[in-house]
Amino acid sequence: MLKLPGQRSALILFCLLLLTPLASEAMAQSSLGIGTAEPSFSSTGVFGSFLDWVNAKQQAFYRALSGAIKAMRDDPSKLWGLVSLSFAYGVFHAAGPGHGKAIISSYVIANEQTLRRGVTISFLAAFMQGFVAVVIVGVTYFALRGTGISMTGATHTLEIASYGLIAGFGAWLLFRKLRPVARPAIQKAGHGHDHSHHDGHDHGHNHEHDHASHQHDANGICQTCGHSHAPDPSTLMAEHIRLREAWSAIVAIGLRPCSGALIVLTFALLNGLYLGGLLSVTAMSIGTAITVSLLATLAVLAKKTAMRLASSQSAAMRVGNSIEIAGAALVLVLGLVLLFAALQA
Amino acid sequence: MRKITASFNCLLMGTALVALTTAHVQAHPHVFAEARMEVVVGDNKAIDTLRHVWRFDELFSSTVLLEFDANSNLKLEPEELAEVGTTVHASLADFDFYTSVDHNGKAVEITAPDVIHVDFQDGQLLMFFAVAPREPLPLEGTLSFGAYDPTMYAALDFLTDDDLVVEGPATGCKHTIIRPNADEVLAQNEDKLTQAFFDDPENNDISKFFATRLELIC
Repeated sequence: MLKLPGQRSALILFCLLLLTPLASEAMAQSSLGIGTAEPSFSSTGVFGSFLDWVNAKQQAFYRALSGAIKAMRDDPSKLWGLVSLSFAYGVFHAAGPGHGKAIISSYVIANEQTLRRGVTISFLAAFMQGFVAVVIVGVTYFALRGTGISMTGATHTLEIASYGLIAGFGAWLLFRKLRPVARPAIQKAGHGHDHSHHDGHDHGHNHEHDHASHQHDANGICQTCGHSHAPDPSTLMAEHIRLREAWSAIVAIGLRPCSGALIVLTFALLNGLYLGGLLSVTAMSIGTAITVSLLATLAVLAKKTAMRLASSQSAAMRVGNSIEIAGAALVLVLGLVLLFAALQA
Repeated sequence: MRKITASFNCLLMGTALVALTTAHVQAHPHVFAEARMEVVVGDNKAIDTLRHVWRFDELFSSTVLLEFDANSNLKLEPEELAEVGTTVHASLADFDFYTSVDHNGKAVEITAPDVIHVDFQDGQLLMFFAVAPREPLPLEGTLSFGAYDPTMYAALDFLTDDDLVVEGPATGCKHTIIRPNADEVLAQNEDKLTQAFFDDPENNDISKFFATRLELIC
C-alpha cells in the first residue's frame, strides 16, 4: 500500500533532480552588478523572436518613459503624460519575461480557480509588487543610506525569499493534489468502511458549494471518501484554505519588486517628484495586472477546453486532474530553478 | 487512472525540462548608456588596447547614487566612486567586459582592465576603462569590434558613427560601422537563429546579431 506513493515521489524527485543543473542557465543578478535584472526563461524559435520583438518595443517604451519623467521634472503639468506612458509600459513590460506570469497561470490552473479569482490574484500580486518597490526605495532613502545595506542587496534578499516561498508553495500544492490520488491504494488495503454514509454527505455538499469547482470537488471528495471521517469541517475548511493559499501566492510573487519601478521611483525621489513617482508606479502596476490576468485567463480557458474535448466525463476529470497536478509541479519547478539561480548569483 | 496521471505528469515535466534546456535568460534592458569605443593601434601595426567610455542614463545613475552614497550626503566622493568601479569590475568579468572582438570570424580573448574608472557628472554616471587582446592581434584580415551586454540588461548606444573610432596607424584598412537593423536581422535569421543556438550552445547570445560594430578589413 505504500509502494505507489513511494514510486510516485521517486519519479517526481527524479524529474526535479534533472532540472536542478539548469538553474545555472538563469541569472538573477544583473550583469553590471548594480540593480537586478528580471530573471526568466525564454525559448528560441517562434516564441523567441516574439520576445525579441517585445524586447525592442520595451526599450523604446523605457526611453520614452525616462524622457517623460525628465520632462516632468522641468514642467509638472506633464504628469499625465508620464502616468499614461507608465500604464502602457506596465502592459508591455509584463508581456516580456518575469513578473510571475507563469507562476500565477500555473497556480490558477492547479487550483481550478474561477476566472474572477485568477484576475483578482493577478491584480493583487501586481499591486503588491508596486507597493514593495515603494517600500524598498523609501527605506533605502530614509533608513539604509550609509548603513552598507544596498538596494541591490535588499532586493536580492527579497528575491530569494520570494522564490523560496514560490517553491514551497508549489510543493504544498503538489502535495495536496497528489494526496487524494494516492489514497485509494490505502483504501483497498482494508479501510473501505462507511461508504454509503459518506457518499450521502458528499452529494449534499457538492450542491451547496462553489459550482465552478464542482468537478474537482466531486473527484477529490469521492477519492477520499473511504478515508475522511469528518467531511463537514474539512469541506468548510476548504474555502478558508483557498483564501490563505491565494494570499500566499500573492505575497510570494509580490515580494520581488519590478526593477523598472525601482529605477523610476529612485529618480523621482531624488528629484522631489513624489506624486509623479507614486502615480507612475501605480499606473505601471495596473498595466502589469491587466497583462498577467489576461494570460491567467487564457490558461484557465485552455484547461476548460481540454476538459471539454475529453471523450467522457471521467476522461475529462482525468485530464483536468492531470493538468492540475502538472500546474502544481510547474510552480514548484519554476520556484526551485529561480531560487537556485538567485542563490548562485 | 493513476498510471495515466503519473505518466501525463512526467510528460509535462519532461516538456518543461526541454523548454528550460533550450532556454536562456533574457532580461529586458533597464539601463541605457551612451557609449564610445576607441580602438588603439600601436606602432607595431597591431591592436594595442580598446578604450570604452560609457555615460549612463539619469535614471540608472540616480539608483547608483542612492546605493553607493555611504556617507549620506547625496554626492559620490572618490572612495564611493571607486567602490562602484570595483563592484562593476567584479560583475563584468563574467561578461568579457561587454567587449566582443572577432578576427576573421573567430572570437578573440581579451584581458581584464586593471581598474574601471568611475565619475559622476551632471547627474550621470561615467565609466572609463581599457581592455587589450590577450594574444598579439596584428592588423590583417577582417577585424570586428563591438560592445554590448549579452544579457540585455544594459543597452549600449553608439549615437553617431564617430563614437566608434580607430586611433593610430591603421592606414590601408577599410573602416566600416555596421548597425544591424533589428527587423532585417530577425527576418534574415529566422530559421538560422534557432539553428545557431543548437549548433553552438556555448556562444548563443542573440544580442550579438543586433550590436553595433566597427569592422576593419586590412
